Amino acid sequence: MTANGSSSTPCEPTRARAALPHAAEGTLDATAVLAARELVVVLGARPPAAVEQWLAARLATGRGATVLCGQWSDPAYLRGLLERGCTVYDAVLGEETLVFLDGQRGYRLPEGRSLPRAVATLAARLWQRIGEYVLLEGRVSAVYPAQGAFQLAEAERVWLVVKAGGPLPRVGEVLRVLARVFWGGGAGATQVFEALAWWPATPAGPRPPACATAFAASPASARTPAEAPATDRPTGPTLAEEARAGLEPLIAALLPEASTVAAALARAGCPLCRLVADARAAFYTRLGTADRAGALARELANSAFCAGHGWEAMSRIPAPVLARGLLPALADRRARVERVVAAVRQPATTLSARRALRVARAALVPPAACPACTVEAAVTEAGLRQLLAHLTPPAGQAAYQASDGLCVRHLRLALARAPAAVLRLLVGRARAVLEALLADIALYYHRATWQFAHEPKGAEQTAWLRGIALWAGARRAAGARGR
Amino acid sequence: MWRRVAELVADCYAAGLARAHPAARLIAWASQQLLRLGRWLTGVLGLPFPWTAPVLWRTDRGEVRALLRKPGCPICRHVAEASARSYFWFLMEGYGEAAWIDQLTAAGGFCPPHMWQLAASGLAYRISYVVQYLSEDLVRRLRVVETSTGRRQRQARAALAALVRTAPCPLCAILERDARHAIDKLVGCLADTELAALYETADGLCWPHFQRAIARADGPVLRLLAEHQLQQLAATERALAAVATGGAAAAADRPSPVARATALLSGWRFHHRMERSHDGEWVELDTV
Repeated sequence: MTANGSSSTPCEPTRARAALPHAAEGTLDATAVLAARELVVVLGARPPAAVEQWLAARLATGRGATVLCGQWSDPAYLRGLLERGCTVYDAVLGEETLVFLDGQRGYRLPEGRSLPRAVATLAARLWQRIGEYVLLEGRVSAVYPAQGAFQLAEAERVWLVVKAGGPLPRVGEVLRVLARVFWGGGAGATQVFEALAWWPATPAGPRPPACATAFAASPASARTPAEAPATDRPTGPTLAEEARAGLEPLIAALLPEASTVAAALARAGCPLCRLVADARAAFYTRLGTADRAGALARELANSAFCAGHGWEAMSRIPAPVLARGLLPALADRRARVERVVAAVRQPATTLSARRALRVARAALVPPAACPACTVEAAVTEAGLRQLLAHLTPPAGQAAYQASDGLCVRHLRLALARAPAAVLRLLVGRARAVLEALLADIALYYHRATWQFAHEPKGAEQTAWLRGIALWAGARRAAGARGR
Repeated sequence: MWRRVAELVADCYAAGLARAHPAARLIAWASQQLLRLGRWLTGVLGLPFPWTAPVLWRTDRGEVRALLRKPGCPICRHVAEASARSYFWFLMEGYGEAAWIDQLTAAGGFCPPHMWQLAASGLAYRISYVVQYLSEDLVRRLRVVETSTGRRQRQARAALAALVRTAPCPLCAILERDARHAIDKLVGCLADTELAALYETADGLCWPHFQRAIARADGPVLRLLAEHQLQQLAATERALAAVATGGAAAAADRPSPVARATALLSGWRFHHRMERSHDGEWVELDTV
């Protein structure tokens, strides 16, 4: 349900694809918005529900949009846009709501009429920008009532000021803050931003399907400096939560429980390697199902599999599903390179050309972490925590003594966090395993010499492979380097 | 702030130079004269003068030409070849050398993928030796931790910290250094018109190496890299769209569009064809 009363969602293609009433056939419709390389929305007021749906559908595919806000700037709405990957600017604007596609075509909303001089109008609107909206998240580390300002531990060089007389958050609160950055304010190491609203940054609970929510959270849920403090969370999931919904619930479902860790301990090999390998296999299986293709596409739009996991995914995920997942990533990379090409084609005789090239180069930043690596790290972390808890009682210690123990890679991680009693257990077991391995290797060399080559061969012949497994972890968990 | 000022000055100078602004020309002329003076002075004194114009060495051009004539990202191929060479020399003689032993004990062996790639050679006798000295070192460290636990807290903490802390995989470090050098070499050699023309017919760089190359390139080389990458991305996107919508026409292609997209986004993969009878010597690389 959208905030302006419409119940249609991006999941309803028949309604979402309809063009606006006054728009010419094939001009401003869902296809045009989705296909545009650049989308600029000038918000004089809240846009029609249909346009919101097209924008949501575009953002869901990982393609961004630029939004200019003037007098109408609902904090919850802006938060939704920022979390979904939009770039939002503050500008000196009237009440007109406009949409520009590819910097060439422009439309006036809500009627959808075409603008006669779209390029010039867009350039004029872009020149009216005076600042940018950003979302900051972190723990409040300091509050300065006299100055009406506070700081976040995660952004220590930023001072967040509130309106005069407005309430301030408490030290220790973990918040997500919508702030406005004015471009006129100095370029020193310390920056002063205006805190417009904030919300508690608590973990999300169960969420409805991604398509069942509109852009804005409930405006009443935001804490603005002008309002009384409210600690409730915005109703419904935010857009970033929707965007992340593809991976986060998946990771949560893959995290091992205590019983899983106990079962892994009872089997051969390093228990953590087994958990990681099983989780990775389950991750690929779940991504491979057709209904997860959208989640995969969203996840890969701003990230990429690393070399090893990319090739592993190719062998585990069906080609059409993976192809749908990789398309937004390719489109994203293409858009970035297009910016570089456009910049490099300009004659390098002007300062603006040099700046454009610098900006385009900076946009080629390394993508976010590989999703499979993220899953592995989360499972290792959770598995290690569960394992250390499992090893505290005597029954758990006995089970560990009877097991193969951890591989050296995971042993190092465990030793760094283990309490004293568990530490002795881990060290003792590791030493016993290593000494047995060294004895086997000594026997292997003994039987490899000419004098004793006639002796019957035994388990010592595979000691080198057991050594590799002990040092590098299980083969399944190690993955492939890819090169 | 100083970084921004420096960027602004550099941009102004570059733009002025491109526009043949008198001040920029004067600075360029003065720097040329200074270099000439420096070269003459160091020549008189019999000293080396490092600030000369970049020279394209024939061997570098030959290496880059050979890489560009083969399929796949040239840097990925170079890294794969360097990796195969490193394994070969490690198994031939490095595994018993003091320098390698020091590096491996400090790093706790190779990283898991490299350790298992080493195991793929099947050379049990030599690998057993590596496992042996790594295990002996770890047993010694574990004994230190065991004996100091509960008695001398500071010593126990230090022993544990030394056990937990490891250096990066030495093979990863070597390959990273090789990749950096190869990217510099490629970017430098693409100033040559023949190699630039050859690059236009090649598969281009994968995304991770493209990002690094573009940071080092400038002028016509930057344009060549970006335009070629754009072509590759657009072509792969078109082919992949056909697969995503169920089109099977591209199934006979080699590599398949999905493999091509994976290679472009994550990096190319090569299979090492090894000859066991020659102690793991690599013969050639096949693209996947």
